[in-house]
Amino acid sequence: MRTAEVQSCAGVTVADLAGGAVTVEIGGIPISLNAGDPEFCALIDRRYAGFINPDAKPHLEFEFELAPAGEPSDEDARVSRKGPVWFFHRGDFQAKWDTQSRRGWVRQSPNPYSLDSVLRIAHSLALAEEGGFLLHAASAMRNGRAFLFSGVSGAGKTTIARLAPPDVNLLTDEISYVRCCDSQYRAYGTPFAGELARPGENLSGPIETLYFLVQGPENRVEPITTKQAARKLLRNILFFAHDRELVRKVFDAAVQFVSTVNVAKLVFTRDRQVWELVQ
Amino acid sequence: MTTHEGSTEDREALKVDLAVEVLRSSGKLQFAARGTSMIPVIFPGDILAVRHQPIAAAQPGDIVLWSRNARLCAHRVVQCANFEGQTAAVTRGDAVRDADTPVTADEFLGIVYALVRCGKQIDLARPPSTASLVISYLARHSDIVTALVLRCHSLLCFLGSSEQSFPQQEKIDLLEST
Repeated sequence: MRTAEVQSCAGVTVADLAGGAVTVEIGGIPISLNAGDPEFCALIDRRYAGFINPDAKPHLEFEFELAPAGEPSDEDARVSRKGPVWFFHRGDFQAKWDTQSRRGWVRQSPNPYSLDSVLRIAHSLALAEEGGFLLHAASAMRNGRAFLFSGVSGAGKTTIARLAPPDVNLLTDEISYVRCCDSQYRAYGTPFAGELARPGENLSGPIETLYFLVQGPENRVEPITTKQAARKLLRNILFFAHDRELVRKVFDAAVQFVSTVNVAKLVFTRDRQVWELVQ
Repeated sequence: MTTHEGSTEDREALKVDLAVEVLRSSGKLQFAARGTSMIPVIFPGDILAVRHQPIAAAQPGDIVLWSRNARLCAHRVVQCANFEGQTAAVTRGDAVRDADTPVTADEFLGIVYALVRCGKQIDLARPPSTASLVISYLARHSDIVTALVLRCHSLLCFLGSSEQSFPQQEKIDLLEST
């Protein structure tokens, strides 16, 4: 039964799983997850379906040590650096990542939420080094361009994703992935889902506009100043590390982003017509 | 939509704007110093911790932070004065010959209360040492001295970097709590 489940994993062969490694590529950054345990590999495969790339050369490799099953923790993750090694810690996982050897170690229970958190932290650190970031935002592609819809919980990220018409490709309804490539900002699809409980599509495109969501009685786009945009953006960037140099890079990235990309406030009501404003 | 203000100057102005907002709303700000106008007391890269205070709190000898024309400046108060009917602080960089245009209450942001360099805390409460005064006097009159001092500083920081025992943030917090 277990073998049958393993063989059904899209893009991963039994031979791959014999070694226990699955390479998950999000935002063009492949991370090899070496769990050893076939059941956990199958869980990874299901959760990150569409983002698994066995041919990619891993940017970093995580070795997993599975702890007895436990509940995901509500506490904030603590992320710090000692020399070239990052340490991530939360009630439900411990991890370290040596940036020189590009190898890491994770101890966690075999639940997907802890794994999501470890991956988000690793990606947030990798992105920060190169001027990108993870953002609390839904994002979608339309006509080859990406649009981001940012806001705190309850602002309407999942709602705007649900209202998307058929010609829109959803990249995520929760965590947007932003990279700076050749002086251009691009958004990438992520498997990190919010209330929609549906992973995004593995696509990317140049970012046309970042909207900050506000629910209201009608649909309209309102301008905001660059300073307001920077303030709101900084509030919604996911960043976990207590590290002065990396904080400086994220701050610079946020300022650069709002100076380069269109940013506006999107007041919207719960009807599909709001997407007429997103072109 | 935002209007795109893509130049480096505009981005720097935005950073200053945000920094001033953080200082005014939270009462504190930490930032990395740039420039050589305060050597040897402040070197480029030093982390300065500033507490938001009114101009009336400034005393001669304090290093204060002010903002003018979208840039921040941390210089030493040489005199508290009345300028065009308002309280003002006359400031000057230790390594600069001329005083700045008097700083008004609107421009005044706060007082530098801590400094961390290469992971080590520098006590700003003490008056500058004789050696420091001599170096700043020489730097005021010679760019060669300034360049030499900067080179020596880089070397000392490089040699001392392995001795850093705990993060700079914690050092500043420690100073604040005492």
